[in-house]
Amino acid sequence: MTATVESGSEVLKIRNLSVSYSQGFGRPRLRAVQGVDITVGRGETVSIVGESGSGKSTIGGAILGLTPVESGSIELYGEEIAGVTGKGRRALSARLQAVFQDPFSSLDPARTVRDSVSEPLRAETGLTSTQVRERVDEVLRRVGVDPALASRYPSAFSGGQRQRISIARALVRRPQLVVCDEAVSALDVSVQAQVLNLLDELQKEAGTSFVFISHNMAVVRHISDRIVVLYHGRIMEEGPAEDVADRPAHPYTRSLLAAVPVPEVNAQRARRMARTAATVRTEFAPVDGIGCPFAPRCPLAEARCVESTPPLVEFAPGRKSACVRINDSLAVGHEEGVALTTLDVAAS
Amino acid sequence: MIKTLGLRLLASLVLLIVVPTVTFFLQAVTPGNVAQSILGIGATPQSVAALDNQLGLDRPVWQRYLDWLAGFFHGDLGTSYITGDSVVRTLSGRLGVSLSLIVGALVVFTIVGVLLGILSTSSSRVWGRLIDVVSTAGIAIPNFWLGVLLIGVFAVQLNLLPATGYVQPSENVGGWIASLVLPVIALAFAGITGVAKQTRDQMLVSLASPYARSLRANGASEASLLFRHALRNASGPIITVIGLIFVGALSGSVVVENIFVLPGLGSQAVQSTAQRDLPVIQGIAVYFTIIVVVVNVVIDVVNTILNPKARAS
Repeated sequence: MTATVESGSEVLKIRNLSVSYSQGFGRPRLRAVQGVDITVGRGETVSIVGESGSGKSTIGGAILGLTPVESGSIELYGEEIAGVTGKGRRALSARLQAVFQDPFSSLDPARTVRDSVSEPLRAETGLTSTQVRERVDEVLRRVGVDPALASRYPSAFSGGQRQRISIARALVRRPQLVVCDEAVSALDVSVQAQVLNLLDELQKEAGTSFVFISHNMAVVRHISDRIVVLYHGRIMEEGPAEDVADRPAHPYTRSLLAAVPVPEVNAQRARRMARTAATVRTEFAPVDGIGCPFAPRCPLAEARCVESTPPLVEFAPGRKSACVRINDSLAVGHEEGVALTTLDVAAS
Repeated sequence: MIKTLGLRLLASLVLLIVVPTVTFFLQAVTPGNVAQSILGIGATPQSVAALDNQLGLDRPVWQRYLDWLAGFFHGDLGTSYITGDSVVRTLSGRLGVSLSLIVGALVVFTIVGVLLGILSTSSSRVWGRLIDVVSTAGIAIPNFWLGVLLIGVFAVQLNLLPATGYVQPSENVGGWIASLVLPVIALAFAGITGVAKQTRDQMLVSLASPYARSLRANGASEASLLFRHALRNASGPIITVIGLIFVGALSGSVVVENIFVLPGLGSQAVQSTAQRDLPVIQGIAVYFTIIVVVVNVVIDVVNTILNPKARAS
């Protein structure tokens, strides 16, 4: 599933997006997202990966209009959608839908499955109740839920089924872009695979674009065309999914990959030791937002990492990294110390 | 669901016997004598004793209680000591007045309270603060004071509405409504604030839930989100509070009926208590208990319909 992004075929174009949250009176605002650029082409899946607090869900919220945007632009088919609320936002729902993390609470417990799935269609005028019924049956069948069960309440379904129902709700209006915020994180591993395969199939059929938000690189690498790695609201690395997952260029991406458990006892033990050895070095903490945000945790940090903020540079076609070492050598890490070698072994 | 309701009704029947029984024995141990109050302070002990005998008050308490209970099961609540009229007939005429007042207050504090509560969640923080202030006022301001204030402003000074009295709806519907406006407001005020506060708190919980966020992200309209989803999920605790406030409004109606001189059960209760007219007081206890039981069953039914979660378990 590799899609090439031709110019002009962008479904979603995020430019220089910044979002900050108030932390209360007299405290500086928390800068959740700082100057992020992301482009999603037609039929493309772009994953935003990062740990808790990296700002990945904030980006999702900004696309969906749940989070106020501080600056920058978000364009859907060339139309500015940042800060669009109310009626305009409802009109957008024909093209833009969302699937959220928790299948147990993202469906209204007091409404039947049919009610929940048909809710987005309420914004679409000119549909008869028979047509609504048919659309709901069709989309439920498509995600593998028997339409005969649609008169039941969410409590009657398992987590995997509920997430299928959430996906059915997101797809019932045949949107062009679906934002999946940790859409499979709450599911068992076997169910995760089913749901991911389902999304993959649906995408191939309808050419829908996906923005997939996840903390787990292993979950997204097989369904993504491109991966964007986020840390402290900044893009650390970006590129085709296999490249980022198999040949990470940024030390942070390496540490993320190392956080994915591997089904091999010795490898897992070595990685755990490497992680324990990595200490936080406060002398590399960015001052006033200047400097690499990952430097304090980076085993390769040097003085120049915090002298200025390393820019996100394109070092190969479609491959970007925001590490100062990227210009030194493209094979960063291969000549480096113990800690990184251990991480590297784990990643490959 | 039917089984649950059946059990509720059965428990309610027990309540229907227990409440008048407690009232009966409380009356029996309260000092004072109805014959004395009928005959006046100057009556001779002999004439008081003769009247006691005539009313059957010289018999033991338990015997009088069993007599009353036997009548109760036959739908006969006895006759008034004072007027000699049938208690059922006396009270049935007054039931409509009290129901108009209490149900009117129920409708007003439910609708206004829920709307204020929703308003306070959907817009700015100012509304939320306002609801908090008004809630405190609602708890602090007694209905008799508010009643007198309303009479002073709207009846005496502005001369918009009648100060006291009741008009039968069969005579004049406009007059009936006019006669109820002020008493209903006086009775409903405390309830409005309670319902508004509960609605606000429950709606905030509902609106912060993941399904509300999903609905927003998937393009549900604000109205659909508020009324179809959030309010419905918030409805359980709100309805429970409405039931509690309603029972409180029953005792409030006793005071309000006296202020506005409405010929309802409440004003009869005050009058009969002063006169020690035991059969009438017993009758009022029965009527009030029936109202409470009916309202509780209705609340259960509404809750079950609105809350499929309750139905499932």
